[in-house]
Amino acid sequence: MTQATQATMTPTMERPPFFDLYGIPDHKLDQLTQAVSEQGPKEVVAETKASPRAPLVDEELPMARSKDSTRPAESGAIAAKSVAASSSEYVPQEEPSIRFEQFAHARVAKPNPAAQSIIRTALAKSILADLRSIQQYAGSAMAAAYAAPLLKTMRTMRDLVPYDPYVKVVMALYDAMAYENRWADYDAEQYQGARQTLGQLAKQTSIDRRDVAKAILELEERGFNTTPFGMPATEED
Amino acid sequence: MSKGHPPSLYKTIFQVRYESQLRYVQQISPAAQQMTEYPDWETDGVRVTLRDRDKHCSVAIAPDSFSYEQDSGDASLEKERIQRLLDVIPSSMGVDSATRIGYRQWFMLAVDMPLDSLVSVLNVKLLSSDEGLRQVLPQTISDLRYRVDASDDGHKYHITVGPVQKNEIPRWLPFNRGHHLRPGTAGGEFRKIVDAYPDVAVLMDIDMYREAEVLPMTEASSFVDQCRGTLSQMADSLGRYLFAVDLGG
Repeated sequence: MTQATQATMTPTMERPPFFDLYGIPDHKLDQLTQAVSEQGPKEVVAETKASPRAPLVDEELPMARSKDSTRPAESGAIAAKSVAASSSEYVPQEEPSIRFEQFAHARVAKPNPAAQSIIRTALAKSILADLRSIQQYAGSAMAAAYAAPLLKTMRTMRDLVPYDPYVKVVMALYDAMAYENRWADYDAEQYQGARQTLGQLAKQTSIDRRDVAKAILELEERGFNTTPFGMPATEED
Repeated sequence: MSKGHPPSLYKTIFQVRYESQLRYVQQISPAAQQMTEYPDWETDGVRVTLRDRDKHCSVAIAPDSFSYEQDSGDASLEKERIQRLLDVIPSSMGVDSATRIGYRQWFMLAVDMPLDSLVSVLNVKLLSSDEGLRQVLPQTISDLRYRVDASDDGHKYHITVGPVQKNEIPRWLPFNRGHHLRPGTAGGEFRKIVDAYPDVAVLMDIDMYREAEVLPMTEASSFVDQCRGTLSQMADSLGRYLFAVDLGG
């Protein structure tokens, strides 16, 4: 138990597999990677913020969203809920930073498939339980009490098993929920749907790219905007 | 994934502690002579140790305690020998109450994954994955040990669970080479025993005990039965919990 294990970290800036979900072309990704290597993540964040197509990153991610700042909603019903719920004082004190933390996690050692499956099951159980809870209180101030631990567990999963394809789907839902506190906009039916999608996927013994794409598409069809932010613009654009 | 369920039993120690009295010193030898199933013996004039090297078990009798130790997973032998010990020693020595009765077992659950993967699993299953803690600790957790002291219904527990690889198992699973192997061949025998250990495993060391000023010796036998069931079930449940891949409901 105290025996030192072999070094498991890979010192290279390897790209986590879920990165491609955001649709970043490889050449742009390389630019970002290089920029992080040279300047550190903060500078990249600032550069990205300057882009008109990239209204992302930490500072703009929520605390409470004001009544005036509701985004164009997919439906009138959701928009109405958004106004009500987002003005709540129960907004979780989470600062979900979505994109640039991923570089740090690229060095996490990849567990073998059996271990990955066990870890996935353990964390998926927690996520599904939190989704059930938030589903029950969707649209009410109480939903915030369940949104915070849910988002936290999702980030934990990303940190611990970033190579698991299941994480791609989890993080797609995370983006849909965390960006501008949109967790408050979704209704019970949508959360139930997300739970079904994630639950069914977690039960699979193996998950490939098609399963991931299908699950993310399902989330989109259920009304989750899994790519809520734009991409950094470059000169080529 | 675990290679087999339930976890395998490797070692058992049963011990009764009582208040030391001078009269016990003289009663130890007659009591020990009744334990004829142990071919070898040793004494320092106060304590007596009885050994059965073929079956890797021994009994130690002292003025303040008697104990049984077995370095094997032979559950029926353990049950038989402990019962015999409880039938003979307290009555022969006139010990009618104890201050502590303890039953400790070591289990191992062999796994089919490298140590670092097992560490990752146990890290998620047994330790906090809270972001706050992760931000404090270095990025890579390369090894760990889960250790709790617990209690319920008058019973107390020391529970240790951790990942082990073959070469470190003897440190966490202390084989009594002096009493349980033959002096001339102990080295070779012990190497064979270590070779048979799993390459990577979860080791569970569970000690269940009762402590009080007066514990009637008449309750010792039923307590041991209870311990046996509890520890076996706990080890089995821990194994199932650690390697669950079923979402349930």
